[in-house]
Amino acid sequence: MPIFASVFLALNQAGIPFLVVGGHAVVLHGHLRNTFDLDLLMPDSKLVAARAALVKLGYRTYFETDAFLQLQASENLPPLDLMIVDDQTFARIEVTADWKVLDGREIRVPDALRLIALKLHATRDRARRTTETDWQDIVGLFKTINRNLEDPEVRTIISQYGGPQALTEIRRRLSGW
Amino acid sequence: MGDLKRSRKSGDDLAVGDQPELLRLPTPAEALHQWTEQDIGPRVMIDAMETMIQIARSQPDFEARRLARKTTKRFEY
Repeated sequence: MPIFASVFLALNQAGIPFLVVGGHAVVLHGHLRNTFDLDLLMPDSKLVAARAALVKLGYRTYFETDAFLQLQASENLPPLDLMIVDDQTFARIEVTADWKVLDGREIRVPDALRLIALKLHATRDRARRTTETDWQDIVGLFKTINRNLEDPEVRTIISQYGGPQALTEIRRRLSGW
Repeated sequence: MGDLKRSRKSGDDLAVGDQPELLRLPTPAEALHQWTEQDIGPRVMIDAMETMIQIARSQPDFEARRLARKTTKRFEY
């Protein structure tokens, strides 16, 4: 019962670059958990065209900020969220993205370390009800990629996007995995 | 998993016994997460999630609950 493919097809036909992020990207990297939403990362410059393509497909806006768009649709389309970033950020994440297959279509996801950066960023949003799933994803991704926490690139990502306590939290969770 | 004898012994009707080609469901003693990592892959998981989505979205506050889980702050890299 594929419901994601129509979204990918509509965006591809409209020439919209996107990366699958969120729970599906985590699953595609090998850390299996459930998720209800399809989350897409997209550059600012393509938002107007993306919104037009998605409205044409049957979506309507439920909530939006300058960095986030939550869309709802009929039952034959997935719950969809757009995470909007500046074009430079998108290009920097896109360059190391991995190709995966979702609903029979080739799509791109951020590589595991960039996905961890996105998850760490999410843990610092105090307006959210809980960040537990994000921490589980972060630890799950680290287990999957088997990267050393002492690696300079890893340390930089953790401190820059997770803050001063993130490394301690990741170590604590990895030790109890 | 793979301990089908233990499954039958425990009276678990979900175990498939002598039909190894079928999807083996977890016995009560096994953690579901461990089972998913061992016995199913991302493709099966995503198919299952698509089915769950259709059920979950029938809740009247589905979109509000989704929103509560999201970060709306801009990410820069």
